[in-house]
Amino acid sequence: MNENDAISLIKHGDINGLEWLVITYQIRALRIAYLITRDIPLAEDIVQEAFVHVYEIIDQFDDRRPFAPWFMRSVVNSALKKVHNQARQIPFETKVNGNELEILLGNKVNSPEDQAESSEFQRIIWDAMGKLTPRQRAVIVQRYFLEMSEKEMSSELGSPAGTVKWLLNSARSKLRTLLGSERNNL
Amino acid sequence: MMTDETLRQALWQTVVNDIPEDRDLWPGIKANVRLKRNPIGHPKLKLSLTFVIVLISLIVVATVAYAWYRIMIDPGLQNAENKGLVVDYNQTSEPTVFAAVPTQLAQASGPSKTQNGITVTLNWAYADENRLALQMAVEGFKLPEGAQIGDYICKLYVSNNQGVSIGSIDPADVQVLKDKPGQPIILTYVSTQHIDASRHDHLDLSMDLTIGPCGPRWNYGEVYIPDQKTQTPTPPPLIGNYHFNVTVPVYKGLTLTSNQTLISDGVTVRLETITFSPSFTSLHICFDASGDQKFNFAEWYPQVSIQAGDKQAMNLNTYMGVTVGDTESCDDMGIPVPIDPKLEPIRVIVQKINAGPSEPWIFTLEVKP
Repeated sequence: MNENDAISLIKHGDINGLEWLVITYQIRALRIAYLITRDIPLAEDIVQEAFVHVYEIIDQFDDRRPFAPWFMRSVVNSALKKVHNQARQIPFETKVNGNELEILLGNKVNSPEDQAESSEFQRIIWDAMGKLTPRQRAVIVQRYFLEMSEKEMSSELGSPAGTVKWLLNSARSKLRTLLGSERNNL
Repeated sequence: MMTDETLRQALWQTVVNDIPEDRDLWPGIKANVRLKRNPIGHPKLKLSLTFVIVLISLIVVATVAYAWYRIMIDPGLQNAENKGLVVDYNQTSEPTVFAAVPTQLAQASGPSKTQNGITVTLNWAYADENRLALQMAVEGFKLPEGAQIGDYICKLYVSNNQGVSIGSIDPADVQVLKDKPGQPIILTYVSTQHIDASRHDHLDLSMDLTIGPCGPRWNYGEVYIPDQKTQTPTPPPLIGNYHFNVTVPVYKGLTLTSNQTLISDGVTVRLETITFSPSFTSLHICFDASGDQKFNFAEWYPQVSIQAGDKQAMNLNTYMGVTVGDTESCDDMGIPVPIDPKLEPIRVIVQKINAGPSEPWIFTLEVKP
């Protein structure tokens, strides 16, 4: 079965098509929702609801277009909405120790892969992400996790390109500040 | 130097650690889709008194008949049913401890063994060394316009004093019998875990099913777990909490100890045990990568199938638990299908999937009873 087969099955009321989509995309969707919400049960609720919503509105989906970007966009939007509803924003407060980060980046690890796999580095990145607003986290997720261009993000978010650019730059700037190193080129 | 690629990889790795590949949302999604397919109707007929009396009589008679209605959702449970191992309870819940009320949510004509005309019945239950399954019927419940069943029928909370961890369970299957009086909602719950039948030949279960509206994600019973008490206030007003105390026998399975190992690409795979129970087949398998091969469980996601005799191989699609050590990761996984261990040989085939479905890496192990 491929994606088109799965969508066709759903359009004919066959739940096996949805199962294929769930198996194929649930983990990626969960991780995206988790990056924005920082709450695993909430992320699971969001992704479950998103798939059920797919089943309900699949007739509106243009199957000439790829499913994943369309679906992931809905997951990002739902995650943003839920986080705003729950008022779980974490205020922008303390900075991560710059020296600590510099040691991690400059001395202890070499390749990007090694840096990324360092648990301490991951914790610092995670903490820094937590200090962004959900909206800023969403654009970071779209840029780095979904690897969307600014033009695509503009289209997906329904916002002018300038707004998206500003959001992305402000998120990068805040992350850079949080990570405490002027020499880091984000 | 912090690059885009470093940040991207760090983000990825963080969520990979927290959300491993074995998360499976499908059972919950399937149940919710079935609810969408079978919405509860909202009859608006104004009935005459005579007709209501006749209708109530029919409902009472029909209740006796359909309380025995049985839905077995997989081949394993059907096998347990065929063997006569599933225990019928037909047990109505104890009166709700609180019923703050909205009487408009109850159908006036439903059987009225409990408050608000809503009856919750435990139809049947079954347990073996691999899992616990049970079925509830909720009758006489009128869903408010625009609400989903999951908004009102909360997770089933199951506890016991025997050290068997079960907790809260989402329904694995939900069916609304629109053609039956009271439009009963049939909910099948399945909890998959090991239960040592040599220690527990039965389970004494305390079960709570809350008819909500449900809280963010907790059942009434769960707010009394000490470490969750502060963050999960009970959302009033509820229709009520329906409580059951029930004893369920645990059927012993056949466990074969294998401890066979195969090594490939520096990774040792050890099949420790296979447990054959009437409703389920499970295995405990460990992966040791202390050699040259770098081991990352999140990306090293195993797909396992089992083949008995000349029968077709079946993929194990239920994960029961993962134990990750410094150099070894062990999985408990299974399939809700009974397998006859007399069908020699039993083959367990492990495929390596490294961050994608490319280059499958296959082991074949034979286990002879």
